[in-house]
Amino acid sequence: MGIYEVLAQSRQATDAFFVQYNSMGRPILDVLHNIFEGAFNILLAVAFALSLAYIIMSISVLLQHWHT
Amino acid sequence: MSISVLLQKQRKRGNEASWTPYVTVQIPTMNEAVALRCAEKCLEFDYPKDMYEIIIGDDSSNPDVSRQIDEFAAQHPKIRVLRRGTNSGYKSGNLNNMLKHSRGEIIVLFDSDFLPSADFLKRVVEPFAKDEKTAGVQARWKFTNAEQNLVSVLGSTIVEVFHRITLPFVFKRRRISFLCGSAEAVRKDVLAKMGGWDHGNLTEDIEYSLRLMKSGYRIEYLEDLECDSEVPYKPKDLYRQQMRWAYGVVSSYKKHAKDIYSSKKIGIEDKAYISLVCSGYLMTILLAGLFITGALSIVTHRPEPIDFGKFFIYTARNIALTCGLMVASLIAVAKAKKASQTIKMLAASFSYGLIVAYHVNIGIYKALLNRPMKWYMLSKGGGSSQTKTNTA
Repeated sequence: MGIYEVLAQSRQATDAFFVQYNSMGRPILDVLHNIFEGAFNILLAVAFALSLAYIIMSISVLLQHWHT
Repeated sequence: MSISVLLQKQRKRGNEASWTPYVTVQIPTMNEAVALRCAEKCLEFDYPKDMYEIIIGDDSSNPDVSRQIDEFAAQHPKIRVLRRGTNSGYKSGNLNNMLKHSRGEIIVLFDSDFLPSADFLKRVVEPFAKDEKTAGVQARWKFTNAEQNLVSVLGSTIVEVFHRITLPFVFKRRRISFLCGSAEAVRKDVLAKMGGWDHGNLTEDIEYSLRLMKSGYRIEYLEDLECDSEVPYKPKDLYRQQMRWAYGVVSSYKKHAKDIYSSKKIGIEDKAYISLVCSGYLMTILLAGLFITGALSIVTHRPEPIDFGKFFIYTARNIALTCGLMVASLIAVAKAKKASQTIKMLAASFSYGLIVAYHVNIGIYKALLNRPMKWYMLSKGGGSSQTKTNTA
């Protein structure tokens, strides 16, 4: 078997993989992507709320410190 | 009527100033000769000498340290040494043992590395005279070795945020505070009535604070009363300390959260502030979650050329949205008059801080899954590092 035949076969296998990936794997990955992105946004919102609480506390304490 | 009110106020002030209850100073220790340095400072209190006693709760397994403590106590009759011959229940077990032998109306606690000033005792007992519902008083911690290295800079910053931002803010808003395990005072009768310290709890101070709040008692935070102490300067010590604290805080909160939220003695605002104080370690869980879900979101994204501009803009936005704790750290450092340490603090946060965050996450997950946590003795002023497993 020549090198060109090996390359052609591997290319066929790769094409077949991507056909399967597009028809079956990608929809699953899209669902997973939406789940992770949603979880990320929820965590970001909670982290932002907590972060804001610390900023408010810090500014309040700082203002009191300057005031006194 | 006006004169009568004035006279009553003056009499009350006079009573507060002259109130000198009998106090027991407790110093729990295990293989830490540095406890003698603390005891020495306690002997210098400008408090009536016949109105306080000092107890060293010696759980040492090292006979050399025990010998040094005995020799020191022999020279100072005010000091009593108590030994259990075991380390059961760790610090809280030791404290409960000392409680049984304490004669004081007020109990003042110091970890072995603390160095109280001469007026500490006089000032820490004052709030108890003002209000019978005050069952605990916490003083502010200050560090003698904060600038030793990057580890001590990070360790001190974490505590500074709690002592210079969180506690003062919550105390000023709602007169709520928490005990921190050292440089604190508690009413003995209330502690005994509540069943003493939680045996084996790794943060018995937070656990007792939550119990006090549930029962309608108050804890006062004395922002102006500072006590010198040490902060871990070895990376492993800092990781272990933070892991233990995270574990203890989450365990205690888990134990009492239901009762606190259903309690009619605690107002809604107070409940919110209690949650805010206990949620300090939540940020590390959130950051870990953001990192994991963010990475998985990128990996599962539809293949397409990477838009680096968009990537950096989103990253910068997310950092800006979650930088509250960093802002608090910068302000706490500035308030502690250590603004010159800012660069070191930032460097420590983005190096050792990441490993600390990992250990804090481990501590929180262990607490949530009810897994036992190891108890570690930290190196203090030449003390040795030892480990025991908590099976309580």
